[in-house]
Amino acid sequence: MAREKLEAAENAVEDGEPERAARLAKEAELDATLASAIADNQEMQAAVTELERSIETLEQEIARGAQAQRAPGAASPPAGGVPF
Amino acid sequence: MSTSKTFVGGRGIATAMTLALLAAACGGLPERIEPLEAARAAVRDAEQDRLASEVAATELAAARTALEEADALFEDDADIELIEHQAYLAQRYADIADQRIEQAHARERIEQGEAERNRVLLEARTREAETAQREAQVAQQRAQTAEQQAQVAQQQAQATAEQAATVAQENQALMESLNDLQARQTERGIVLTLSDVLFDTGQAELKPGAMSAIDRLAAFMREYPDRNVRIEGHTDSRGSEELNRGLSQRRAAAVETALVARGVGPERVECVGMGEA
Repeated sequence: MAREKLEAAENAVEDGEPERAARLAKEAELDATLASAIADNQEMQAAVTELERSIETLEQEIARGAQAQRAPGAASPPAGGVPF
Repeated sequence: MSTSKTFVGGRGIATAMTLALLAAACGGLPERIEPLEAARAAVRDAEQDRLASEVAATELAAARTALEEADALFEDDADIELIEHQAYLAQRYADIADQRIEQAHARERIEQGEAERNRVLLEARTREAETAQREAQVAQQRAQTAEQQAQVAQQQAQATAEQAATVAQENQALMESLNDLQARQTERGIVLTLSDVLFDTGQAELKPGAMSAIDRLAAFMREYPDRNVRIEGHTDSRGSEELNRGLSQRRAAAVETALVARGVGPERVECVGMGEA
């Protein structure tokens, strides 16, 4: 989108419309900034997903460890029933 | 999501531009310019977020400036292309602000999540430590119990050993006490030779002084119930041989009677009168 705008701005320059070219260039600049902000945000969202998954895994491992520590055959709490 | 808003905005602009061309052809501005109002709403929405002033102040200020510029151009009845350009900028600044704000919320969640993970780890470690401590306590108690049991067993063994030593000493003493009865161990049992020391001359009654020796012999017999005893009576050479034989038999019988009176079975005692020694 930013690239198309930039091409349009270049054409406007060639067409002798410098003010329109400046507007298109400014729009292209903000399009690019937005694309970069989206990328940054998506990276952070992925980090959140990863962290939440790691916590879930950790809790499952701890729950399994706690069950294993109890005497085998003893009544074990229902899965996910161990509060953390 | 802001991304989809962006595309909607893009299409909106395309439509608005078509309208603008038509409007320009007819002369004058429309009463309401949709991309401008959409941008105004987007800026207002973004400003509502509690993190807006912290992470998107610059973008939102720029968006406000663009909206004011658009309004001023509208008031001046300027070219709609210029108004829509400012609306486009305002919308883009609002979109960028949305992304920054969303990212900041995600950053907060990560901080909370890391705190949560640390708390979970700490709890797990605490629980492990508590379990280990409990197990150690149980093991310690078990060890203490075993130690106490070992002590009791040792004391019992010691007591048994002491008892055995006492019994052995008593037996030793008993055997030694029988020495003055001239005890001899033979195939048939213990053979005792009762001398005149136990009797007065010519008498077959035990002297009171002989009783302790008889008591000790009886005790020995009770202690060893599988032993038998043979009593050989003797006399000195005074008097006739026949008399002495009878006397020696009566002396042996006196000893037997005394032993039986002290609880020794008569079947275990054999009496022999040997006559003159």
